[in-house]
Amino acid sequence: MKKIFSQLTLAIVCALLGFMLTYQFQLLRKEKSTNVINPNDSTYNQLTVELEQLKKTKEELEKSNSRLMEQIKVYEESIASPGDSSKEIKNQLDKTRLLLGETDVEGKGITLTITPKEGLFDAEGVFRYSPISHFELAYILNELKYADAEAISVNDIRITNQTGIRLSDGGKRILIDNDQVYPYSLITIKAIGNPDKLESAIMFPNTLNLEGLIGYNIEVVKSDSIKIPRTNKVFKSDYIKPVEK
Amino acid sequence: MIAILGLLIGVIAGILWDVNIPEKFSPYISVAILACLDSVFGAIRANLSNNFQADIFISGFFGNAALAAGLAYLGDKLGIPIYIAAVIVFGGRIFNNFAIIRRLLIEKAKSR
Repeated sequence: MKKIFSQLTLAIVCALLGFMLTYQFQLLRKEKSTNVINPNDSTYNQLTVELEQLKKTKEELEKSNSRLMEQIKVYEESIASPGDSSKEIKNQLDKTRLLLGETDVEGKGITLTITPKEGLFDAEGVFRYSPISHFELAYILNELKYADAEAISVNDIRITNQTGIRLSDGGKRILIDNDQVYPYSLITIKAIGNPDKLESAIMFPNTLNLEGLIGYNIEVVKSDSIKIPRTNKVFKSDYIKPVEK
Repeated sequence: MIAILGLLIGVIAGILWDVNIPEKFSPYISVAILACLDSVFGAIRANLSNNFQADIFISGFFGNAALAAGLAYLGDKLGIPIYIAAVIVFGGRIFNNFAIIRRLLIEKAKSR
């Protein structure tokens, strides 16, 4: 009796060991197969593209930094020479910066949220509606601009007069210059301007009647204090030159 | 004989039964497996020298596994790789046991 019992427990213990061994083997094999970097993988590609973009941006920023330092030196020299003209120039410069989007700004305006609707995906994980694209985004921004928005941001990315918007990665991302907006997550657009005018421009019947917006809830909230951060864009003036008279 | 049968059942269960142990336990299981292997080698040795006791084997099997996994967990929390201690001790003992098993087997073969 005792022998049978001990043999039985032995068998059970060995079974346990065998189970643990195979389980662990399978787990490690699974991990190995998922850990291999596939050059065709979309995240891999995405990261490479992002890296390249960041490198480019860094270079540009370094260049613009040195240029700005030189400018500051020039300004300092001009301030050293007394006179009202320098003060006037400074004011002009500040205003220009404000309009260009190089300063954080605050003021009355609206916040527009574009939220994907519940049940957006069917059982197979496929998007039921056509997702928002650069068309819809640029269209909304244009409407806001037409309603005299003085500063606009999308997910706190400042829209400047040199900002471009386009689709990337087959619709998985919308690029706003080097920043990204994802069509399947919340998009917040902030605009500073006359809140009533901005709201009526967006909420005017049929304004938002676009195919890419069917799958989204759009909400407009007016506010007395909208904060919009400055742009991190490097403005380019390689080709434009004033016309000489 | 019965041990091999048990092992086979375990392997088959491992392949067929798609149980979900969280992946974060994976390193602890690895150390526990080493401890179990050590116990098994100890058992084989004891069996060959005819002083095998099932209760000692089973308590050693579970005790060692639990201690090894516990040490690995503690090491994780403290930031010291204590599991290396378990790996070295059990690894060394496995080789030790194997050496003794080998000798016993060869002696048995010779005396026949």
